[in-house]
Parts: sequence; structure tokens; C-alpha cells
Amino acid sequence: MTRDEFMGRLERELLARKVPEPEDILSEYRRHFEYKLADGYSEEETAARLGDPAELAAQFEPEEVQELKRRGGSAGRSALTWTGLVFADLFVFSFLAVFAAWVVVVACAAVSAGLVALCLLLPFDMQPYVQLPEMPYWCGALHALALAALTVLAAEGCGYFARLLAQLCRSWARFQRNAAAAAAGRAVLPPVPAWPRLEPKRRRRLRRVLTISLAAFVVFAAAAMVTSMLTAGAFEYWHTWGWFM
Amino acid sequence: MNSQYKKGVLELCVLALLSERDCYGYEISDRLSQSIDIADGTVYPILRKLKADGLLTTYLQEASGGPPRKYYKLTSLGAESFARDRAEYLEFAAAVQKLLEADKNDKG
Repeated sequence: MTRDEFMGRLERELLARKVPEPEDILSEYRRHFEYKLADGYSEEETAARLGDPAELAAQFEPEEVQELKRRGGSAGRSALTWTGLVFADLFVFSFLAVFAAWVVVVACAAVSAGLVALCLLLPFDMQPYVQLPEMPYWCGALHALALAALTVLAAEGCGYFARLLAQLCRSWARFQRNAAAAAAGRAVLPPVPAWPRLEPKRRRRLRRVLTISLAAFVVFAAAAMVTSMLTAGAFEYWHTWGWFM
Repeated sequence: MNSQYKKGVLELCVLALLSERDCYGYEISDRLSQSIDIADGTVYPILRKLKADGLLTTYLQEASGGPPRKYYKLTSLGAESFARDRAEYLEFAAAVQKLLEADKNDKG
């Protein structure tokens, strides 16, 4: 192989492999030939001692690229992965839809509990608009406080579930992207955790609100029932007051 | 020998040459191929990788009767990495030698 043959082959290989700054690399080899020829070696001998241009060009590829090539992605693997992902999507999307419905249900529970609590607390007659069972005001007020605690509990739950839903969607999207990329031999991004990442401060506050509202709900609900029983003078106070007539 | 492993050792050899003094590419290739049987061309990918890793830098210097030469020089990171890898390699090589020689003595 002459110098021109060697340089031509090396250049083609470098370009084919998209090695960055090929001109810089080529100039090093050009200089190598100059020094060797000046020392009295022939072009053929020098080229032979340098090694195979294709192998040399491969060594200039960045290591990540070499790694990916070793692992290898193929069209067959890609197709198989996509088929699997589409089937998995059927289940994952159904689950996510049900989960989204659950978030809506919890939001509705928060809103309705809040409205009922408000109506029970406001001491004027809303009879044509709001249908609430008859009860003495203080029993109603205790029920209202229990419902208010439930509102806070449900609202916080709704917020957390919505956040979890969003995080699950992100996590699944990333998983899907990475599975496809790995099958095609492309670079893989770090996975996204499935659980929402809350800062410690925020998590502590959430837990505190949860504990307090849950305790308040239990205490006020029990108090409301006991007060109602005592006031009505019967265990089943709802029958005494004719709620379900 | 495992090619990845050989590559690591060659990197160490290049760093060793450059820890003595700055050299230009051909000089390194020439000195390395005098003592180790490798294709002359393999030195250039190694130099490029070491430079990309930040262990080497290059500078141009006028040469008498020719275009300026590209010299390679160890960075402080390169010197640090060389000192560490050298100690590790020497320890490893000593252990291997001890093992291999013990093996030979058993047979002999």
C-alpha cells in the first residue's frame, strides 16, 4: 500500500464512521509518513507498520459508540420491542385511565364534603335549594366539622394522586423511550422514578396535614354521632328524626 | 491478550513517556514501537483519547526546517492519573509475576 492509498483509505473509513475532526487525525498520519520517509523507510513498509486503516479508524470512534455497536441494535429486535410495548400499552393505558378516574372521584368527594359542611354550618334555611336532613344545630355543626376535616383529607389525597398519576405517566414514557432506544442501539437516558419526588420539607408538611385532618375527622365524626344519640335519646337517631322517611 | 486490557496498558506507557518530557506524536509512536511490538498507527488513537479525557494537552512548536510540530503534554489531571495507575499496575504486575513464577517452580 502506498502513502496515498493508505491516506485515502483512512480518510474514507474516518468519514464513514463520522469520527470528529478527521483532518486533525489525517495530518498526524501524514506527518508520520514524512518522518519515516526521511528516515529512509519506504512508503509500503511504513504503511504496513502503521496497521490496517479500517482498524485504526475504528479505534478513533468514541468508546460509547463502540460499546453501542458491540451491544448492537437491529431492526428485528426493534420490531419485537415495539410489539411488546404496544401490548403493554393496552394494559398500562387502561390502568392510567382508571387511575385518572379515581383522581376525579376523590376530587368530587372533596368538593361535595366541603359543600355539605358549609351548608350545615350556615345557620339559615336553604330548603328549596339544599336538601339536608333535619337535625339540631349543634349536631349539624359537629357533622359539619367532621366533613370539613374530610374535605381537607380528600383534597390532599386528590393532590397527591394527581401528582402520582403524572409521575407514573412520565416514568412509563421514559421506560418506553429507553426500551425502544436500547433495541435500536441508541443511547439510553436515566430512568424516571415511579413515585413523586417531594422535598423533605414538603413531605413532612403533607404528612402533618394528613395526620391532623384524619384525627379531626375521626374525633368530630364520633362526637357528632354521640351528641346526636344523646340529643335524640336513641341509638338510631336517624330513625327518631325521620331522615329516611 | 484482551484488547481492552492491552489498550489500558498502552495508555499507561504513553503517559509514562510523557511524564519524562513533552513529545510530538511521531516521537511517541517511534519510542513505543521500539520497546513494544504494536502497529505504529495505534498510538494516535490513544493520544486522541487521552486528550479527550483531559489527561493531555497539545501545543504547537516551531521545528527547524519544517512545519511546526504538535507536542503533547501531561495535564495535572494526567500526572495525577499516571501516578495512581502506575502504582496500581506495578502492584498488580508484581503479584502476577509472583504467581506465575510459583507455578513454574511447582512444575519444575
